[in-house]
Amino acid sequence: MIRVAADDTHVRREALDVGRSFIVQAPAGSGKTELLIQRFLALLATVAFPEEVVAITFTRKATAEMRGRVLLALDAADRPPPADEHARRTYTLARAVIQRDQDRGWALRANPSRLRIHTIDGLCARLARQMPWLSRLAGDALPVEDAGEYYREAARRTLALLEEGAPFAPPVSALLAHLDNDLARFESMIETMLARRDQWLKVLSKGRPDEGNFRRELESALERTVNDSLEEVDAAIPGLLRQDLVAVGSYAGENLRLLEAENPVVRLAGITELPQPAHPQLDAWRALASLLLTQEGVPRKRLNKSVGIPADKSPHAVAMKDRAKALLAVLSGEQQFIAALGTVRDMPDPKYGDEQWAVLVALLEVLRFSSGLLRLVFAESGRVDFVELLSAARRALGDEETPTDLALSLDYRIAHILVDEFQDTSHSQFQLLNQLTAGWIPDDQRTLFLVGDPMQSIYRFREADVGVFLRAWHKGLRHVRLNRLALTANFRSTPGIIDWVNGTFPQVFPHADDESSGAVGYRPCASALGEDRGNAVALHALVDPGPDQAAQVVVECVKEALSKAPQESIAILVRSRTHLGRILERLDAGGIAHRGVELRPVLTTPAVHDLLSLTRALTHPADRVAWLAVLRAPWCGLLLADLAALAEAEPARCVPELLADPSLLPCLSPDGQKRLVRVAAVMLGAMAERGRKALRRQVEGVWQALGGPACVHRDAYDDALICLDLIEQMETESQVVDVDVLAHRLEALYATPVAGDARVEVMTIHKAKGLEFDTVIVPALERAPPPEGKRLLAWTQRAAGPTGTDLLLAPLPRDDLDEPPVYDFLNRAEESKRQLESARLLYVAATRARRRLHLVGSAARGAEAGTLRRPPPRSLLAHLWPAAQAEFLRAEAADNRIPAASRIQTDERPTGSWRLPSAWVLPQPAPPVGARPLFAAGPAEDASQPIIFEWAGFSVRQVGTVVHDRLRLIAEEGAERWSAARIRATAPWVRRALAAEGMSDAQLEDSVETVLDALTAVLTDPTGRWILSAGHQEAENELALSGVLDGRLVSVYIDRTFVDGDGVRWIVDYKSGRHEGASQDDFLDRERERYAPQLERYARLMANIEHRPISVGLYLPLLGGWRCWTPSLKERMD
Amino acid sequence: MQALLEVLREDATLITVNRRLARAVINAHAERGIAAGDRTWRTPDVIPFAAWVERIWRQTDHAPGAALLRPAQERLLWEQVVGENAPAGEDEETPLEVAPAARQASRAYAIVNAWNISLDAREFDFSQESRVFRNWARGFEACCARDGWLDAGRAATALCDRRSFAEGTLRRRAVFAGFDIVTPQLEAIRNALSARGVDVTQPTPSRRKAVITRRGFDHPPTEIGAAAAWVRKTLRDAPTTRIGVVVPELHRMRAQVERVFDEYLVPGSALPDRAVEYRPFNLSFGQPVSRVPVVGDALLALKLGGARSELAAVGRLLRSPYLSGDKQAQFARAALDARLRDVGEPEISLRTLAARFGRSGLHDPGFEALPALRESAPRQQRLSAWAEFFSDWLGRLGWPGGRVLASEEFQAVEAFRGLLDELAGMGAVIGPVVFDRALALLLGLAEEHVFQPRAEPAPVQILGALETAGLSFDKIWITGLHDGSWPPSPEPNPLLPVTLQRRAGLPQASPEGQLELARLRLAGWLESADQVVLSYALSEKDEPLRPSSLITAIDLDQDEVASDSPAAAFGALLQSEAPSLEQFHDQRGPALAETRLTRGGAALIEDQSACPFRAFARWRLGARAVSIADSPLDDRVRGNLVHAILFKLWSEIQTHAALSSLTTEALRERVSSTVDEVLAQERRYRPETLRGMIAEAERERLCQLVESWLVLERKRSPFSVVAREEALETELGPLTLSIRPDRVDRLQSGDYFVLDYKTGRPQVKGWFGRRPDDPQLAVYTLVVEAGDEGREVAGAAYATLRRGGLGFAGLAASEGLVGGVTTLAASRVEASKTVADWKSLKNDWRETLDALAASFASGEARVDPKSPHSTCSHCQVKPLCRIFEQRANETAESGE
Ligand code: SF4
Repeated sequence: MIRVAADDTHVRREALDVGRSFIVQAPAGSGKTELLIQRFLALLATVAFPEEVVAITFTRKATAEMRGRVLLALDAADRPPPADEHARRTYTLARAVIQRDQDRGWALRANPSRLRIHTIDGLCARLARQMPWLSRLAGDALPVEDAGEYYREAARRTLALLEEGAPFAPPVSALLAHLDNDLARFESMIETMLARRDQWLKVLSKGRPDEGNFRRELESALERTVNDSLEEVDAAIPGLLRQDLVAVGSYAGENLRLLEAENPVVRLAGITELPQPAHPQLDAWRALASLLLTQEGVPRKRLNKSVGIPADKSPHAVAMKDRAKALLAVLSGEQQFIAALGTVRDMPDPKYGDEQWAVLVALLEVLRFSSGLLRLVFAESGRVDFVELLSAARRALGDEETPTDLALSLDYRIAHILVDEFQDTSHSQFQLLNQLTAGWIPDDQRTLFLVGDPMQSIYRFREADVGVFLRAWHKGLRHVRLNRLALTANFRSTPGIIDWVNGTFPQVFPHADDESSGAVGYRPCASALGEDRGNAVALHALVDPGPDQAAQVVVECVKEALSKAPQESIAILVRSRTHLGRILERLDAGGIAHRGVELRPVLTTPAVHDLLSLTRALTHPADRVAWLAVLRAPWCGLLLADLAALAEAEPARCVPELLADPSLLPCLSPDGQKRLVRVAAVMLGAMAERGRKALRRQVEGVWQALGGPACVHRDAYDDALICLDLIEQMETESQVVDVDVLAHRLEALYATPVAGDARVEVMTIHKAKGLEFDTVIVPALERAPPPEGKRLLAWTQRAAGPTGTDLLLAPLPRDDLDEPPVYDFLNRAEESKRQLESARLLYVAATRARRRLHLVGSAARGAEAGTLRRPPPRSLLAHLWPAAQAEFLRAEAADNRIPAASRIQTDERPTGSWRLPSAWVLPQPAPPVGARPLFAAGPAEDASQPIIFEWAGFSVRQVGTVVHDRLRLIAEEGAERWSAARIRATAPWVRRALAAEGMSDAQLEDSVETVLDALTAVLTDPTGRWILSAGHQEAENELALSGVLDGRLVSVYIDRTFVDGDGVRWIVDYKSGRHEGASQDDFLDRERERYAPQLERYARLMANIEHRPISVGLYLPLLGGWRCWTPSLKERMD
Repeated sequence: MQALLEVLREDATLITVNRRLARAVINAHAERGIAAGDRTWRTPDVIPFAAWVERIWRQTDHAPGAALLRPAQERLLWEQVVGENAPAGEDEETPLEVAPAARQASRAYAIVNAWNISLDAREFDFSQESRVFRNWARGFEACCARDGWLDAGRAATALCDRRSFAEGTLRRRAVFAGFDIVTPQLEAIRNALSARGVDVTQPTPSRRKAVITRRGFDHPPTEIGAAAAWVRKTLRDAPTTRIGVVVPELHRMRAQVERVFDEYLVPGSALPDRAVEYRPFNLSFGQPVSRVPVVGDALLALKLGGARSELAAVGRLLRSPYLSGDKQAQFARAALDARLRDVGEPEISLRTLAARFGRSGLHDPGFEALPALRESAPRQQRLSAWAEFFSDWLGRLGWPGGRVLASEEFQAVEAFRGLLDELAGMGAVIGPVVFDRALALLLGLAEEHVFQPRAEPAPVQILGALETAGLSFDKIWITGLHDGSWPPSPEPNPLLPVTLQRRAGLPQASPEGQLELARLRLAGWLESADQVVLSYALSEKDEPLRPSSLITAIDLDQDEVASDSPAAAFGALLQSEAPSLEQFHDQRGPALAETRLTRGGAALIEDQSACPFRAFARWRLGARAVSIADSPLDDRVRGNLVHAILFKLWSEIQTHAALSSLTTEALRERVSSTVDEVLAQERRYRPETLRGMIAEAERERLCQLVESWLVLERKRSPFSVVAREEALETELGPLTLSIRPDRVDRLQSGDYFVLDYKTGRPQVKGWFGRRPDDPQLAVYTLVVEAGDEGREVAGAAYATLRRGGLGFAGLAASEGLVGGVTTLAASRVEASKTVADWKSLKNDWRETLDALAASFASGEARVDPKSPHSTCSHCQVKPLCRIFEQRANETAESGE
C-alpha cells in the first residue's frame, strides 16, 4: 500500500503565499474549503479594495456558504484567539483583514456584498453586464436554468423560416434528406446543438464550413486524436519487445503477402523498425494489433498460420515461431500495452467520409442560422441561458492577443482569482479563465488559485471535463505559471476507511493521468485522525438475492448504526433514485425515520395529477379527457355509468356544454345527479370568470370549492401546493401557462422532505458531494444506468496543445447506410469517459464516510458451479470487481441466502378508490378583516353592459386638445385682449403642438387651419366672447375641485367658471365635438344629454362650497354651439 | 405625512418623488377633510416631479420652441439613434440588440442630466463602453436639435434657469417631498425657484420613537406568511390601523405576496364566483399592461395580422373569453383549437385559420372577415392610421367581448386606448411603417406600460423598498433584510465611466454610497411608524443567509405573532377538516346498448386488448386529449401518406403482371405523379408544412421509398390486389364493426393474403396470446374470411416501408407465398412456437377476438394495462383511469 504523510502543514502554509499562483490537489476530506477561505482572507489583507479578490465556486449554495464562513471568520476575529492551530491561522488572517478594513474604511462587515464570491455563471453575468457593448448583451435579461423551451423554439423557427431564407436552404435539405425528412429529429438535433453552442460556435468562427480549410481543421483534430493514441501505445511498448515486434511482424507480413493479401498484417512486411506514432502509420499499428490481439482485444493464445506464423519445419520458421511464443509470454503481463493497442485497432482513419462530411457541413450551416434565431428568441423573451452569458463574457474579454483592459472597463480591477472545485470545469470555462488572465505577467501582484480533486470530478453531464484540471496541473495556464501543491492529510475519515480506500482505489482507477481521455490516476491520502483502524468497511456481497434481501441488508446496517452510536449521522447513497428499490418501504416498515433529499417526485401524488387535469379543463373547454377526469376525481367521484349517461351520446360536444345542458341530468343516478350538480356549478362558475384571476388563484379556488383539499392527506396537500406554486412561478415568468410545459416541469419537482430530526438521510451520490456522514451505506452497486439511445450526433471534446480544445463531431449515419467508423469511435471515446467517471463516483460515495462504510451489492451465479457472472459493465460493482470478486466468491460458496420464509410478503395493494361523500358542503371561510374606507377612489365604471371598443378620430381629438388649451390662454387674459390677427400669429405654435402629437403632414395644415378658424370664430361669436371675457367676477380656468359624491372621491377640472352680473355661478365645459350635416341642433341636444351627468357632478361639487344659483353650459368651439341649463343638484339614487 | 398635510395650503405646490406619494397625500388630505366635515374642496396641487416638469414646460412654451418628447417618443428616438450608430462589423457574428441597448442608453443619459455629468469629460475616452455611449448621446442630441425636440431630462435641467418659468406657472410655495436622493439637478431647480421668490421647503418628518423588533424566519415564504398573519391580527383588533409592509423584492414576488395577503386578509377569496367587494390592502406593484389578460388577448388578436402565428398563441386566442359571441361560439372556437392541434402544424397563417373555420363548419364572421381586412391595409402607413386599423381589427372580433367588464378589466381597456394614443403619437418621430413594425411598437409600448389598477383607500399598503419615501404608518413591517440584499450591491451604469459616477455622488455607483443609502432608508423606516418590525429569512432555496448587519444591533423579539393563524389558508383548513371519504369500486360501465355499428373498428379491439379501461374511455366516453403533436409530419401522418399513395397506385396497377410490365422509367413516372397528387391532397390539411423545401424533401423521400417498395413487390410471385381499404362491416362477437384492411392480395393459388402497411418497426410477436399487442392483422384476416364462404386467407404480413428496413414480416400457411414470410414453424418469432400452424392460429384469433369484443360490449372497464410501462406510456386517457393511484408508491423509472 502506498503511504503518504499525514502532516502536510507545510503545504498548507505554502498555499497562503499571496505572491504566487497555485493549483492545489485536495482529496476528499482534506479541508480544502478552509484553505480556500484562509487564502481569500490572506489576499484581502493585501489589496486596495476587497472587490479585487474574486472567488469562484461551483454552486450558488457554495457561494452563500463561503460568504458565510468568511464573515464568521471576521466576526470571530473580535474575540480572543482560539487554541487550535488551524483555527488560529484563520484567526490571524482575519485579524489582518479587519485591520486593513479599518485602515481603508471598507466597512466589509456592514457591507458583505463587497465580498466578490460568485459562481462562474454569476461572474459571467457580471462581466457581461458591465460591458454591454463589448459583450453585445445589453439590457437586463434574466438567466434561465433550463433553456430547453427556447432551444426548441429556435429549432422550430429554423424550420418555419425555411421558405423565406433561400441561402441556407441547400444545407437544410441535405440535412432533412439525411434524417429521412423526420422533422422531429431535425428539431431535436438542433436543440441539442444549441445547448452546447459555446463549443462549436468557436469552430465555426474558423471559416465557412463548406471551405476546404474548415474540413482540414476538423480532420486535423481527428489526426491529433489518432496521434495521441499512437504515442500512447508507442510509449507503452516494453523496451524488450521492440525488436521482437519488428522481426515477428515483418516475418508474418511477408508470409501472408502471397497467401492472403487482404490480411491487414501484410502491411508489416519488410518493416525494419516500429512504425512512427503518427496517423499516416495508423494502418501499420492496426496490423500490429491484429497480429497480437484477438477480435475481443485479448492477446492471442498462440500465433499461427492465420496471422502469418506457419508451423513450418524450416529452422527459420521454427526460430520465428519460438520468438513469437516468447513475445506472447512477455506480452501477457503488459496490461497497459494491450489496452492501448486494443484502442488502436478500432481507431478510424482520421477522415470523414464524403457523405458524412456533407451532412456535417450542412448541420453547421444550419446551426449558424439557428443560433442567430436563438438570440432573437432570447431577446424577445428577455431571457438568456448560461451559455449565452458565458459567450457574452468571453466576447467582452476580447481575444487573448488583444485583451480588453479590464481595469478601465470594470468598476474594480481583478487582482486575484480563486477557483473552487476546479476539477468540474468545462472547456469553455477554462478558456474564460485564460482570457481573464490574458494580460498578466509574472510577478505583477496578481495571482490565480485553483483547488480541486480530479478524483471527484463527476459533473460530465454539465460539460465538466476533468482533463481541464489535469492539463492545468501538468502544463499550467497560458499566461500564468502555476505552482503545484498536493494535500495529503484527511481530516474526515478514520484510518480504517482510509486504508481501505488507499488499498482499493488504485485497482479501480487507471494507472496514470491522461488529459485527453479524462483518466485520473489514484492519489493516496493519510488520515489525520488517530483512531482505530478496525472494521471500518464492510462489503455485503449477495449472490442471487431474493427480492427484498438487499433492502433488508441495508436496513440491518442502519439499525446497527442507530443502536451503536445514537448521536451519529447515517446516509444511504445511491447513484440514481430508481436504484433504491424497496429500501424506503423497508425503512418505513421498520419504523425508521428517514429524510430523502429530492427523492419522491411530486408526480407520484394522485392529487397533483388531479390538479393538472383541473388546470387543463379550466384552460381548455374542449379537452374532453381533462373534463371527464375532473368528474371522476375524488371531489366528484362520478361513476362510469353516470359518465356514460352524460357523455356517450355526445362524443363531439364540449363537456362543459353537457354540464350546462339540463336535459341530460335526469339520465344520471340520483347520487350522480347530486354530485354533478355541485361540481357543475363550480366549474361553470369558474368558466364564467375566466381571465379575471391569476391562473394559480383560479385553479386553487376551484380546487377548494370542489373540495379538493378535503380529499387528500397532509403530504399530498403539500405536493399540491408545490404544483400550484409552479403555476404561479410560470405566470410570473411569462404570464401564459402552457399546461404541457407545466406537466413537463412538474416531472423535475420533488416533495419537500418532512421537517423533523430523522437521522437517516437518503440521497444520490451527486447530492452528497461535499457532505460527510459517520456511517455511509451504498446499496445497489450492481445497478447500471439505462443505456443511452443513439445520439444524433457523436460528440467529444478533448484538450489539445497547451491551451486549445479540440471538438470532434460525427453525425449519426443514415439508417440505410453502414456506420462510418468516426461516429462509432467518438461514441466509444465518450463511453470510456463515462466509465472513468463512474469509477470516480464510487470514490465520492466511499469517501463520504467518517467511520463506517457499508457497500451492498449482488452478483449472479455463473453457468458453472463456483463461478459468478461479471457485474453489468456500467455498474459501480464492475469497477470494484477486481477488489471485490474474492468476497463475492466466498459468499457464493457460503450461499448466504436468507431463507425464503423470513422474507416479507409484498403487501396487497388496496383496490377501489375514494371519494367525497355526496353530502359534503363547502365550509364558510373566516370573515375578512380591516375597516372599510370612508370613500372609494375614482369614478364608477358603467357596469351594466358590455362595452364596444373604438379608437378613432385621432386628429379630431388632437385639434380639440389644442383648442382647449388656447381657450384657457385666451380666457386667462380675457377675450377682450385677443384679436383675429393675434390668433393667426400663434399658427407656428399650433402647428408644432399638433405635429408633436404625431399628426401626419397631410393632415397638419388642415388641422392648423381648423384650430385657427375655430378660435377666430369664437372671438366673433357673442357667446364665446362672453364666456372668455375678463369682465366676470370670480372667474377661474381649469379649476380643480375634489369632494365626495355618492361615496366616491371625485376630482374634477372645471374648464371655465365665473359669476355673471346677476350673481349666477356659471360652470362651462368645452367639448371638441364636430358635426357635419344638417341637424346641428339635434346633435347639440344629444351632446347635452350625453354630458349632463358630468356637468351635474360639477355643479353638485360647486354647490357644496357656495350658495349662489348655478347654471351649467356646454360650449363647442368647433361648431360655435352652446347649450346651457340649470342643474337639478339631486343625489344619485342607486 | 402629517407634516405634508400641514404645508399643503392653497398657495403651495407639493412636488413628490413619485406618483404613489402624490396619490397618498391626496387621499390623506381627503380623509382629513371628510373627517372635518368638508364636502367639497379645492384639489390640492400635488404632483409628481416628472409631471410637474412637463406642466411647467407646456405652460411656458408659448413660442415655437423645442417640443417636449413623451417617454414613448423619446424611447423610439433612442432606438433610432442606437440602431444607426451601432457599428456593425463586416461579418459581425453577434449584432447588438437595439431595443434593450437603447433603453440602457436612455437611462444613462438621464443620469448624465440629473447628476450633471459632462459628456466632454476625458474619462469617457477610457473605455469602449463610454466611448460608444458618448457617440449615441451626441447623435441623440443632434437628432433633437434637428427636429426641434427636447427630452424630459434636459427639460428638467432647463428649469435650473430661473427664466424658464413663465408667468403664472408657479405658486408661492413649493414643497418637495420624498426625495431621499437629491441630485445636483434638483438642487439647482430648487435654487432657481428660490431666486424667483418661491418659498421652497423640504418638510422634515416628525420624529417618532418607535418600538422596534427584529424577527428571523427560515424561508422567505414563511416570512411573508408571518407578516400577513401579523397584519390580520392587528386589523382584527384595530380595523383602522394604518399598516405598511415593505417587501424589497416585490417586483419578483408580486404574485406570491398578493396571494398570501389575500389568503390571510380575505380568506376564501380565490373561490370562483365570489365577488370580493373590498380588500383591505394595496399592492404598489403593477405589471406590464401586456400581461393583463384582456389586453394580452387583444395583442394576440393583432398578431394574427403577421405572416404566421404560432399555433399555441392562436389556440389561446381562440379560447379567449374576450371575444364576441355566446357560449356556443366560444365552445366552437375551442373545438377548432383542438382540431388545429390535432393537425399539429406549429404555425398557421391568417388565411388558413379563416379557411379552417369554414371547413369545419364552425363559422365565425369575425375571424373570417380578417383576411380581407388585412389586405385592405396599405403596406405602409402612418402610426395613427395603424392605430385605427388595430382598433378596427379588434372591433371585428368583438373585443373586449360580450361580458360586462370587471372594474380592473375596464381600466385595462382604457389603458389600451391610451396605448393607441401613444402609438399614434410616436408617429411624430417616424413616418409611415409596415404592419409588423407598427405592431412591434405597440407590443413594446404594452410591455413598457405598467398597469396598476386604481388603488382604493385601504389600511394596509404593501410597498417596495423605494416606495416608502415620505409615507407614514401606525405600524410597519419591513421584510427581506438579509445580508444578501441589504445593503444592495452597487450597480454603476455600465455605459458611464465609474469614476465620474462616483465623483458625482451617485449612491448606486459605489458600495459606500449603497451602504449610506441603506442606512438612510432604514433610519427613515424606523421613524415612519410607532411600531416597527424588521425581518429576514435565514435561507432562500438552499442558500444560507444572515440578517443584514445593519439590523443585528436591534433586540430580537421572540413572540409577536402566533406562528400560524387558523385562518392561514382556506385550503389547509379544508384539508384538516376533511370528512372521512367513502370507498367505492367502479370497474364496469353499463353494457353496450344495441347499436347497428360500434365506432372504433380494429383500434377498439386493440385498445380492449391493451387495457379495457382505455377502450371504454375512448370508444364509449369519447375521451380525447388535447395536445400538440410533436411534429406536423409525425409517423402517423407519414404512414397515412404512404397508405394513400399505395392505395392509389394499386387501384391503377392492380396486378403483379401489370407491375412487372412497367419499365423502370414508367414506374418512376407513375410513382412520381401519384406522390404529387397525394401530397397536393394532403397540403389542403397542412398548408404550412407541406410547402417549400419540406414538401420537396418529403416528395423526394416518398418517391424513393415507394419506388424501391414496388421494385420489391415486383420480385414476388404473381398476385393481384383485390381489395384496398374497403370498409367491410363485420360481426365480431356481439359487436358490429367497420373494418378496413389495408390491402388484400389474391395469390396464384387463389388464396388470399392480408397486408398492413407500416412505416415503423412492427412486431409479429404482438399477434399472440389472449391479449395480443397488435391484433389488427388478426382482425383483417378474420374479416376477409368472413366476407365470403370458403374464402381462405393463407397468410398475413406487415408491409414495412421504412428506409433501411423494407420488407414483409408475417406468418403464412406455407412457405414462399410472399416475400420472406414463413410458416409458424419456420418463423424466428419466439411466440410462434406456441401455436401449431397457421390454421390453429386463426382459430385462436377467432376465440381471442370474440372474447375481447364480448368483454367490451359487457361494459368491462378494468384498469388493467397489459404491461404497465409500455401500455400506459403513450396512453392519452391516463388522467381519467387514475392508474396513478395504483402507482403512488412506486417511484417512476428514470435515468440518473
Ligand atoms: S393509462 Fe394505462 S391503465 Fe390507464 S387507461 Fe391507459 S393503458 Fe389503461
